[in-house]
Amino acid sequence: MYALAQRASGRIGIRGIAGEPLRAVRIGAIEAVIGRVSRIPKPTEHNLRRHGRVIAALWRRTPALLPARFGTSVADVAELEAIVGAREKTLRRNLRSVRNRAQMTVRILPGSGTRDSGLGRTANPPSISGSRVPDPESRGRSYLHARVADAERARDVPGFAPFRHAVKTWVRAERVEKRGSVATIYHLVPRGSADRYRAALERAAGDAEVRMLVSGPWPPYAFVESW
Amino acid sequence: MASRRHAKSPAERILDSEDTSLLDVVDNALSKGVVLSGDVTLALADVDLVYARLSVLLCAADRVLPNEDKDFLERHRSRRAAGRRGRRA
Repeated sequence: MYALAQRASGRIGIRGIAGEPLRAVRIGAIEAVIGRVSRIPKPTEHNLRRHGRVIAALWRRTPALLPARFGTSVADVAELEAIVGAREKTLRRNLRSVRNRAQMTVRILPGSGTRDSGLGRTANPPSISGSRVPDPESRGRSYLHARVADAERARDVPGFAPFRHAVKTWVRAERVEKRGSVATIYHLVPRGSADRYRAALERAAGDAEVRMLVSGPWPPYAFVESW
Repeated sequence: MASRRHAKSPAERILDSEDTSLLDVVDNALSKGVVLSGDVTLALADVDLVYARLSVLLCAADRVLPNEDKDFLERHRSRRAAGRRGRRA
């Protein structure tokens, strides 16, 4: 499976990683874009890039699309219908949240005043948090406060606040990942606003000592909700 | 006075390279995106006994294995030891 969409609009006319023709399978209000292969392609650089091009081509054709992770597969359409059908409500909500929006990726590089910030390795975004086991003695409000504090710490990227402010006009959602000395911020922005978003970041960078890499617009890979 | 160049960390070497687009491709394709999961209820004599949530997940290993480096080496050693024992048998 390559993606889930609100409407893949008729004949797709795009081929998949293995050259297979793609088709849309309607499951309720959602369409799954699939291709039939004899074996899952290996995650080589060539196949990963090709996967990216297929997803990008599909994304350009539909206002709302959730990319599938490389290698996502099922045995047959019946299994796909069972799984997607069981999650239709969540998926429709997720599709609405990414409709007409694109992902911009910002990587804060080492040497940006963040080397000793103790970024460390953190859990996934709060929606998939697994960083702490809640104290069984801590219940109700105090537990929830602790989870909120965890989520805020996970979002904190030293030195990035001014840049977040500079692009807040376009940011509809944010995800933050921190690994070692690199922090990655994913922003969901309106399609067509990528150039203005990038220009605002560059203006804010100015003489600041923050080194960052900005890429995009991408399909909204990082804004797929966990189930 | 010439300043000493500091040794680049692995992150710096990757992010300073020309092909940082590959980083985005790998990040998007292998650690993001929809993952399909299936739910299975195992029953015996029409009695639902076990509910299992199955996930087909392909991703960078350290996303699901927080102590991947340590665990990977231990698993690797275990597998090799098991293989040697199997051959001897």
